[in-house]
Parts: sequence; structure tokens; C-alpha cells
Amino acid sequence: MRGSRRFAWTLAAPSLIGLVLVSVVPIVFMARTAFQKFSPNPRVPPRWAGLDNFWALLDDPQFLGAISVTGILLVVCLTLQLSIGFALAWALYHIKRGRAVVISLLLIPTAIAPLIAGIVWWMLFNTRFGAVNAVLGGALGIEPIQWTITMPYALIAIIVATVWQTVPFVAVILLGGLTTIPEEVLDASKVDGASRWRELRYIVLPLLKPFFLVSSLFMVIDLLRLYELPQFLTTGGPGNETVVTGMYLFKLGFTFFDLGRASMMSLLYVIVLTCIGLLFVRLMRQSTP
Amino acid sequence: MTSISDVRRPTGVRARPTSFLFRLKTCWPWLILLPFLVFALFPVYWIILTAFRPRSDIFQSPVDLLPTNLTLDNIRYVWFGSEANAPVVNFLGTSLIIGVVATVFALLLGVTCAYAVGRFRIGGSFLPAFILSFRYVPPIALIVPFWMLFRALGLLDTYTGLILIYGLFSIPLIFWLLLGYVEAAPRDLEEAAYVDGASHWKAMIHIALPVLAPGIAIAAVFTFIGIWNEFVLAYQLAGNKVATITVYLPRLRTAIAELYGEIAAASLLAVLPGIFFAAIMQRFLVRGLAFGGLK
Repeated sequence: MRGSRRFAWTLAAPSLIGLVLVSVVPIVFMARTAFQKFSPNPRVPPRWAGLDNFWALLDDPQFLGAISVTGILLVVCLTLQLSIGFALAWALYHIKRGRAVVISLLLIPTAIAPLIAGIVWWMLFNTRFGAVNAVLGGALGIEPIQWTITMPYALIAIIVATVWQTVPFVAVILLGGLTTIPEEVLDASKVDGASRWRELRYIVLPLLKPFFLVSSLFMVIDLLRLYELPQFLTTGGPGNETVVTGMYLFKLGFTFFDLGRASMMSLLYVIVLTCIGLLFVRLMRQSTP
Repeated sequence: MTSISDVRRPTGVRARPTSFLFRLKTCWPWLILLPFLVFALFPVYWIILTAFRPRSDIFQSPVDLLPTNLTLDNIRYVWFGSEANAPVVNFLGTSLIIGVVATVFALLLGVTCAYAVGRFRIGGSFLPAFILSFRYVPPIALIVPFWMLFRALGLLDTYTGLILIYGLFSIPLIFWLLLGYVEAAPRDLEEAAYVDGASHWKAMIHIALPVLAPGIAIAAVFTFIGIWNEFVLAYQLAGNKVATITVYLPRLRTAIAELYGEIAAASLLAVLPGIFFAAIMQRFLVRGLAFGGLK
């Protein structure tokens, strides 16, 4: 019909302009401020600094520390999220009654604000009044652990809380994937005498690959944006040993007020996230024929 | 019928359904699910328990995991305010206003955009991918330039600023949730309306949108909860005159005393919409998220 395309573009235009406003505009703006040196006095105009901010970041032990903490979290959490997520999805797939109720209950942690998740786990991990030490002490006779203020316990606390909040989401995506596998595929393999393990390894897991990729993408982005949960669980402590990249970006910008260096870090963030997005799009294309 | 797997198993397993092996065969999923359910729900239980506990019970050692004494004091202190903290009502109200207005704003943009792209295929395969790619950039990555731009534009600490940024940031989510609905909805009715002389606008508003209503409702809930739970933008781009519930919570911790009971009571109020949402949304989540995620 004539005029259709014009109508469609008119409808889409406000959204597209809006998206440009909240993405392209800050990124272009940042591409300038990342190469400037800002004075703590807002009246003094920033001056051109070339790549100074970039080199300063590479020389900054706190920045490198934040990257290694985030790296550890990425590896450990992603492993736990995918393995526990799959175990839950596999279990959910095999129960006949009560699946809807169990999923509703499982999803509650994902609906809680990351800020509140951080605060609640901070209460639970409290040395004297927290439930974690009470349970460990009561059941296993373990001496109280100073969770949020000693290493490696602070990092373990963050991992536990992060996995608690994100695993149900992975489980639901993988369960959705399992339901797309025709039942005959699984039945046929049983008649062939394939053991349960081989059925999993050679039939189920390969078919779920795109679903594992989607959950990984969501989890990686979620882990890179981590801020509230560690901020309110350990506040980066002990020392700066659990400061993740999101927290350090905040610190650079709004505690140290080094807007140039913070812009450079933001720019690196956007570049890394874009690369990860593109990588996953490629992987998805390869795994879905 | 005998198959290899039957031969390998001891025949007694099927004959005696109450045997341990038989139980393990049917109940093993619960051996995974039940411990995890306890893990998933214990923190929620802890929020509720602490919210209704008197101070003396919260700060007792050894810790009592079960409710013994219960009180409404914490809820009352948080709701009406006390010497140590402001009343929570104003913050809940701010969150509600910003959440509702920004959700409506985002739906107006996102739904029409999804309809335009899903129905008329503008922009080929590039445009949907382009819009979805915005989901890969979280607010924290852009908080520094946003803050500088907001400062320059005088939008810091205003309703307008937060509503604008929440609304625009929610477009990709709404687009992502609705595109599938638009593509699945039959287009015959709209075609018929065109033949009868209806304009594109009329066909969209009177025929297409009612069909999309369930999808729009889900998108609205997701968007609202996302905004309600958001902290980074609410704290850094506003947080003084315009302060949401997520900005209120940390204030209870910076007070002279750690107000555990009050924090738990306020957290409980803040998580209620989310829990309600999780309860009503699971049916959609299992089907919708998995398929939508592959788009």
C-alpha cells in the first residue's frame, strides 16, 4: 500500500532519535572529554591532553586491580551460572507437577533490586549477627568468618550473592531451550541404549548451544555492569580488593572527580561491550543454521 | 518390549516401585530443586524476619534463625519516619511517579517503533539489530558523560531528567519484547480495514494495538520494575530533591547506627512490586524469554 513506508518511518522516528540521544550523543561527547584534562575547579576550562588519560589508566594499579577482580568474577560466576543454571533447568524439565510454582519462587531473586540484594547479603554475611555464620557454626561447627572484610571471603560473598541473583534467569532461558527439543529426539536415544550421560553430552548440550550463548551474553553484560551489589555488600573492601570496574569508574568520576580519566574508562567500557556484543552475534549465527 | 537399557537394569527395580532406586529415579529433580529453593528464598525470609523483629532480637548472639518475638516497630519507624530517618512514603511516591510516567513514555515510543519495524519491515534486518544492540550498553558505562551533559543542561535532580533518561533507555527492552508479538499477530484485519478506507493510524490504534495488549502489559511490567529497581542513574543524576526508594535505602546505613530493622522494613516495601511481578510473570517468562532471546 502506498504511503506505508512513510507511515512506518514516522512511527519509528521518535524512538530512533531518542536512542541516538541516549547513546550516540554521550559517546561522541565522551570521545572528546576522554582526551581532555579537567581541573577540579569547574570554572577552569578543560585542556587537550592527548592520550594522557589512557596511559594514566594503564599505570593505575587500582584500575588494573579492578580489571583483575572483574576478570575473576567473570570466570568463576559464568562457570557457576551456566552449570547450576543447567542443573536447575534439567531438573525443572523432569518434574511433572509443581513446575509453575517452583519457577515463580525461583524467579523472586531476579526481581529484587541489585542494591537490595547487596544490602541483604551484607546482613546475612555479618560476622556476629548474620545467618551465614550461624548456619555454618551450627551445622558444621565452623568458627565465625569475617566475610565482608577479609580476603578471599569478601570475593566469595560477592560471588554467592551474584549467583543467587542471576542463576534463576539462566535456568529459565535454558529450560525454554529444553522445551524446544522434540521429545522423540530424547526418547529415540533411550531406545538406542544411549546412557543418560551420553544423551546429555551428545544430544542435549549441542542442541542447547544457542541458548547457552544467549544466557552467557546476558550474564557477561550483567557482570560487567556490576556496581550496586558489591558496593553495598563489601564497599570494595578489604582495602580495594573487591573493587570491580563499575565501582572504580564511579570512584574516578565522582570521588576523585577526574572526569577526563573517567571518560576514557567509559569509552573503553563501551568499546569492550560493543566487541562482546558483536562476538556473540557472530557465534549465534554460526550455531543456528 | 525389551531394549538394551532394560536388560542392563535389575528387573526388581520396576517390580517394587517403593524401592530406593525407584524413588531416586522419579524424585531426583527435587534433590536439586529443593536445596536451591532454600538458597533462593532464605534471603527473602531474612528480610521479612528482620523487618518484623525487635532490635534486641536482631542484634543477639548466637543468632536465632526462627521468629520468636515480632513487632511492627520497624515498619512504623520507616513509614512515618523517626529521629534517625525520613519517612519512606515520599520516596515511594517519587519512585511511583517516575516509574509510571517513564513507563508510559517508553511504551508510547517503544510499542509504535516495534509495530513500525515488525509490520512494515523498514530498515531491513539492520534496524532491529541496531535497536537491540542498545541493550548491550548498560547505564553505568555512560554515567560520566550523562552526568556532564545533565549538568550542562540543568537536568540534574529533576523529574524531567530522570523520566527522560529512563524512558529512552527502556525503548530497546520494549522493542525486544514486542517485536515477536507484532510479527505473530495476523495482518488480515488491518488489510481489511485499509480496504474499507481506514488510515494507517486508525488501523494501528483500533485494530493492531488491542491485539498486542497482552504483550504491551508484559512490557509495561518489565519496564516499570526495571525503573523501580534502578540505582545508578537515580543516585547520580538525581537524589536530593528528587529521591527514589533505591536512594533512600543506603541513607539508612550511613546513619550513626546501622538501622538493620529499618533497612529490612524499607527493603521489604521496595521488593514487593518485584515479587508480585515474579509471581504473575513466570508463565510468560519461560516461553517468551527463551524465544525472544534468540531473535
